[in-house]
Amino acid sequence: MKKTLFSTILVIATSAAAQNAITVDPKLPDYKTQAGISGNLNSVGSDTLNNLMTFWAESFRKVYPNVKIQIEGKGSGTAPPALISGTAQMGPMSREMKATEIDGFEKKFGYKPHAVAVALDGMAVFVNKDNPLKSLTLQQADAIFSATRKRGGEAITTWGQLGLTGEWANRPLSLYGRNSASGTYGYFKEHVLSGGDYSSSVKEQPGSASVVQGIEKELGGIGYSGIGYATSGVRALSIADKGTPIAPNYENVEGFKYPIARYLYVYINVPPAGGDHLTCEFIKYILSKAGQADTVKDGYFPLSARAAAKAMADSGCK
Amino acid sequence: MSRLAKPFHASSPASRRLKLIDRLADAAIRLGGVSVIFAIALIFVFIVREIVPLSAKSTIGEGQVHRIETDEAALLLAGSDEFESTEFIVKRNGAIELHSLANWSESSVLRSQLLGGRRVSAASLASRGIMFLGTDDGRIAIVELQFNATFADDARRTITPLLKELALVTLPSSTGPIARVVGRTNDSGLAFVAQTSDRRLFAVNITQQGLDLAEDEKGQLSAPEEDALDGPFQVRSLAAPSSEVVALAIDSQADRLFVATKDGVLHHWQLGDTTAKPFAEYENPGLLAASLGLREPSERDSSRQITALNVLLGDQSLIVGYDDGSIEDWLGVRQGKNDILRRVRPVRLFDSMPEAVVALRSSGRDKTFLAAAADGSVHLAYVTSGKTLASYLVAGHPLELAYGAKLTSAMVITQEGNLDYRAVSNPHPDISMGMLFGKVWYEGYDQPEYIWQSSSGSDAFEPKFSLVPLIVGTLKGAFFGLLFAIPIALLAALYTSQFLSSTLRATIKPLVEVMAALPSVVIGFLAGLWLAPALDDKLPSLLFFGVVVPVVILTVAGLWHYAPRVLKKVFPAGREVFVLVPVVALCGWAAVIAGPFVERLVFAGDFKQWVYDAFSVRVEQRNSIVVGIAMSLAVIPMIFTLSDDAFSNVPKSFSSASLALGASRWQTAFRVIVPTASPGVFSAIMIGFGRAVGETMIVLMATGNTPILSFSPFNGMRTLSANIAVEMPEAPLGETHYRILFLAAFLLFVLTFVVNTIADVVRQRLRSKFQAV
Repeated sequence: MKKTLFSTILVIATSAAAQNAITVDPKLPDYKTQAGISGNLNSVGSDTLNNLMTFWAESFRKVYPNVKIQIEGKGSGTAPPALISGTAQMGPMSREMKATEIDGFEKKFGYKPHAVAVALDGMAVFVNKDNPLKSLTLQQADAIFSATRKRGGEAITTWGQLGLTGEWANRPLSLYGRNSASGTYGYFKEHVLSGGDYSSSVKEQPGSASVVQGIEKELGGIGYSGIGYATSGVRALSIADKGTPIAPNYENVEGFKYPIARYLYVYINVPPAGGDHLTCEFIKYILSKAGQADTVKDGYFPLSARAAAKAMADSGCK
Repeated sequence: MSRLAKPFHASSPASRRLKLIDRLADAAIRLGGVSVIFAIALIFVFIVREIVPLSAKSTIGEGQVHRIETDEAALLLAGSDEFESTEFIVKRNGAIELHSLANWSESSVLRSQLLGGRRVSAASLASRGIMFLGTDDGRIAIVELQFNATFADDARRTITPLLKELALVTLPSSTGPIARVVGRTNDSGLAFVAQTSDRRLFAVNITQQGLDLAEDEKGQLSAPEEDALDGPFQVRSLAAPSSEVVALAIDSQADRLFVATKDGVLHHWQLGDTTAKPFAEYENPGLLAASLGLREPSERDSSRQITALNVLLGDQSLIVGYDDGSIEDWLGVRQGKNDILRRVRPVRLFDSMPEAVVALRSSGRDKTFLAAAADGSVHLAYVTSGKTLASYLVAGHPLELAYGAKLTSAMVITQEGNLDYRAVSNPHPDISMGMLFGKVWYEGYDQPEYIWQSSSGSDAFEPKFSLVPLIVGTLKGAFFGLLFAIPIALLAALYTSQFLSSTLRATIKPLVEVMAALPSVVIGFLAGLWLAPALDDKLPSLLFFGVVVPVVILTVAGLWHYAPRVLKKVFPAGREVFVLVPVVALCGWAAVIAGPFVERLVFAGDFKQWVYDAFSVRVEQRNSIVVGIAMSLAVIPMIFTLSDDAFSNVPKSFSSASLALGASRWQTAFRVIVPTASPGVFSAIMIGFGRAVGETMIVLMATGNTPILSFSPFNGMRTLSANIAVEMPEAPLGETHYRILFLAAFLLFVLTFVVNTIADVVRQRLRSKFQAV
């Protein structure tokens, strides 16, 4: 936990320096405390959202000390099985649920789970802070990480192929990625590799923190994770689709100009007859001004008031 | 105490008590033994029970035939809602007829206002219930059929169908009927390709903004005469095909278009590039499979005509059906090294159908598809394995097919106006022996390969369940573990049992055995977080260390022979080790220090770069050497203690005889003790191997867990056991992936069971052999 706090402070420091501090939309609703909220909440799912869920849970518990919240984050792929088996009321996911997963849920409950967008993420491709590379095209990223190279081009294995010179020219790339349970793994595969397969030389890490840690320690390291895991030892590259490279900052992500900007979701089980009160209050808190301030604190980007209102409507909560 | 000293009589109370205790102990031990066997048998039964359903055959239920009222025999389109509770058909008069599948008489009709009484001549169904209806006056109506589910208080579901009108597109200077239309919903909006009966092809894109414009104009969208390549409403006319069109297919992004014509050409358009010509044309497609060696050439090949086309979910596979009933799967394959666009070619053949293939329909959830032939036979096949999973026969001549959204139903509409509805159960289409253990040509690859990539974040993903990389990884991990463990453990055991003084042996053996109690998670943790980064830049030092230490040991041992008598008196036989250890430690330390110099001298200053340049192998931080070292820590105590026992159990008379005949201690150890103890040593190694194969935590934490098929010591591996640990939480209960993980567990179980049994049998033999001596 200390480490997370430490890295969070770093994130705040770096993001503050780079983007003059992100302010949450003043039109977001304030959270109104309700009477008689208590009970247990379990959350199983995304590792990308793990720290953020912890932040929300901590501040939610400041409002309702009688609420107990347990958070487990091993990957988005673990959320649907947990929601279906009823071991969790909330399933944070960094990708959308697959139709087959929704089918599984529906078979058990008779209705669909509700997807609530809770934050914005400019999924980042990180390199070591001492790496001189500034930007990457999606085609290059595909040629680096995939075995199928659907975007074309030759396989990229050394930094020289990305235009670096000197001692970097012959240095091989060392690839870090996530394991297949991860939604980030799935999202990157879908949107960067165009649905292709990862190269077998990508080291599959169980969490985003270990991806970033690997790149920090290795000069030739490159890998992807949610922007919230940025540390001072790594640098996020600007990404170009076809035009100019675009940096993963709030402005570009919020306008979806950044090619791999995405929403992060929390899936909840709300019966059509009306949801369980506690889950809904938690969702309301997340989508409030205070909840979105936590999002910024963790290094992700907050929702606009409009997006938050739409997410609230999607949640099925009254 | 004195009571015990008394001789027992059979009837004395003490003797009876002892007998009772004896019997109780006997029973308890038996019970324990039997429960262990019972528990193992239970685990076995549980594992097998989870695997068995994998072999379940796909089944298709009895057909329910419903009569459809038609004004004309030909119906255009059929489908069902996402709950597979309501079926719909599109008729030529523009009516969309809905029936409840549970109760056929419950029906309703929806009509599009946009059609305004026009007759429909072609139709296409895209995702989200969006339909493209081509009219006989050259227009295309786009409507969205929604099924809104509402829930009553008792959680009963009511489905209300609703028709949303999106747009009516008028094509440039067109009055003839639309012969074919294929439409899709893609990332930017809607897209379709329409073919008029006068053989003209139009590609149309409508963005969300374009749909908003249409809404303002009451749905009317008229195309300009000139091609419009930009903006919210893009229309492009494609070069007219060489002869009459027989089939059209388009991928989900409306990017690739395939057009089969009567003159036997398959045209491949890339709609993204706006050149006027097709990207590729394949002449005589029916000949290709034979020329690529996929089938025996036959005289019929050249006359084979394409009759149906379908792009499979994921946009990688093109399913091609011919008039002789053969079905092929075509994949995009890179021609040159850097081709962005890939030409398609046949890679897989399916079971031939009796007559011409008339309809192909792919699933929206996985890689299965349905095919119907003119004689009424219907096949359900899985693309990756090329297997036909099930087949059945409907009465009449099929015209159109529909595959339920949840893949639990199949519908065939016949020319005779019948709808044949069947329940489909297809629990594990994605499994076969060939896919588990053989090379498979997966979508997006340029040749067949062994790959493990079990799941991803989308349904279009093709699961790749080859166990080969995992089995190889398991053996690789065990191999490198034993590579470090065997020499150290065996030599150490030989030394302690034959040369070391017995007092020292009494301390050293238990010490090594204590090592076995070290939890493997601790070893793995240290290996992953400390050893791997520490070794990362010291690999040359390690290699140098590996060369220097054995040389130093042999040299010191040789020199000891000439050592002054005083020294030999201080360190008598069995205690020479106190001389060796400091020397070895010193030299080892020197080797580590000298490592960088060696690196500069031999490997041009950068070992990793040198390996990469020489073998084009990347030196990964978490490699097999790290795993080998960590694994050897777990295996050494086991091999050491078992082989030490084997060496010590050689009867004293053997070595005494050998020494008496004038053999040296070394000769005795190597020529007498080692051969005699070899079965015991063998069983020790086998048990060590069994442990290394089943080891989970060390490999899980010390490797990158990459399911790579490589024997290089400089990269990692994924073992069967680590794979189970990594993927179990994400595997949905009862699905193929989940069961394959159990299959992996079963393989591990069998492997360790066999290895341990062999080891034990060998040990038993050895024991009885020595009892005879």
